[in-house]
Amino acid sequence: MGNINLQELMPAMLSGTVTSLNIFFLTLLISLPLGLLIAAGRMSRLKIIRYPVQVYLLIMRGTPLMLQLFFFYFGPYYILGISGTSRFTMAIVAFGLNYTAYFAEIYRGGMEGIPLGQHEAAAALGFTKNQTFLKIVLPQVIKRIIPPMGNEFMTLVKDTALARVIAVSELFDVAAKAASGSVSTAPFIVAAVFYLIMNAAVGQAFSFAERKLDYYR
Amino acid sequence: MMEILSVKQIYKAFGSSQVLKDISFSVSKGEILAVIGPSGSGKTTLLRCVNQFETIDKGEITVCGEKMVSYNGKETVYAGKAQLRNIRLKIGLVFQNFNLFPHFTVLRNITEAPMAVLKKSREEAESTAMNLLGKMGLADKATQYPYQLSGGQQQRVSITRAMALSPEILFFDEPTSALDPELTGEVLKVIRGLAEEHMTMVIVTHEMAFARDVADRVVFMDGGVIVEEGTPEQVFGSPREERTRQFLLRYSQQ
Ligand SMILES: Nc1ncnc2c1ncn2[C@@H]1O[C@H](COP(=O)(O)OP(=O)(O)O)[C@@H](O)[C@H]1O
Ligand SMILES: [Mg+2]
Repeated sequence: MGNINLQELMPAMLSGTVTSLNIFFLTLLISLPLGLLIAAGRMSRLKIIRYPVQVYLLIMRGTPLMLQLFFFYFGPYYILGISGTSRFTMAIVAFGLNYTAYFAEIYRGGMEGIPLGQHEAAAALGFTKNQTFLKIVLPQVIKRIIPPMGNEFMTLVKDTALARVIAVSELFDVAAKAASGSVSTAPFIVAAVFYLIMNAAVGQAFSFAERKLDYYR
Repeated sequence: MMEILSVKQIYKAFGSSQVLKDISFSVSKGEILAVIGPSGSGKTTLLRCVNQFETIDKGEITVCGEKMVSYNGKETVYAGKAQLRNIRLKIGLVFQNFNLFPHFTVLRNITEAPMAVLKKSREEAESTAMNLLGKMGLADKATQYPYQLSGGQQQRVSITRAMALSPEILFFDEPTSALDPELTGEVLKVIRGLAEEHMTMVIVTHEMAFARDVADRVVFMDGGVIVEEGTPEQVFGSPREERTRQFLLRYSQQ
């Protein structure tokens, strides 16, 4: 496996992992709530809201995340003449806006799957729109979207590696540099193990949530 | 006799198809009105108009003396938001396919609206609910979830849920149509129980024997119009209209 010093490699890999985790959690922090808003816009009866949202969704889901990363990193300078934007911040912006689109579609799928009868029963009982959403619709949506959300979270863990294209030194970037410096595949294997551990944790969390909501059908 | 519901000359179209034409009837306190008629005749649409799920094109609806919607000769005028909500609370609705909330227990299905809408305390809501569940023969189901119940039990819970808000009038849209035949009896029995307590009810049903037995008045609808209206003896015993006769004949043959 080449000449590699694990003692030197580990601290760098761990700090790369911290960066990857930061991208992961900050993306979720932005995308989970913003996705709900976008889903509402996508389902709006007003064309003036719905059409722009559809264009946004098309762009975000129809172009490579890698391209979006480049766009948000270089765009401010080339288009607006603004320089000095931080790589990490722009990575978060790109990931946040990209994942917002995917989450919005998952939310929408979940909401459209709730039978109209649930809304009507709630209305007939006098619940307000807000009460209907919070008490009746949302809990059922959450149960429905857990499986697709689990997939999306796991994809996000792996997608954080793309931040490397704008030179954010996350886990994969650290591994790739160490590998080429030492002519060894060991850093890749260590990185793979780290990604697997992260995704195993994500998988565990989701199967826990699924079991928690198993009490009704 | 106090009038609970008055429907005057209402019209409703979906696009170019006229689904309700010149429908008028009224229901007094304690009265039970059965609505019969072939499928597609507009019975569900009528209930949905009264329950504010559809807007009407023409006509007047009054609930407990409060004008829900009136017609000024050119267009309909609906009451304000607050009043519509107030009117809605006087009306209970039981759906064909129950529409229980699957994520709530039986008890919570019943207590949630009294607590969230009428701002009752949990203790009060739960004791009312347990009381009603007892009457419905469902006291032992309080902690179960809807999926654990039979269709008949689910429909009885949905009736309990509507009753927990003490409505002035209760509407049923074919409450037994989604049930296996052997389960219709238990649901009809609880509706009969409500009848004995003089609950004001409008019941859309295909259960002719039940309608004849429990209703004070029967309305026969066909093609969006009220073809015939009268006491059960009149409508079932000696129908005036040929269409009613044909309809009843088809049903008695089944
Ligand atoms: N939302 C709707 N849009 C268009 N047509 C409808 C709608 N709801 C009902 N209809 C039509 O109105 C007619 C009456 O339907 P409905 O009130 O459900 O009859 P019933 O309950 O007596 O079977 C039917 O022809 C039905 O196809
Ligand atoms: Mg119907």
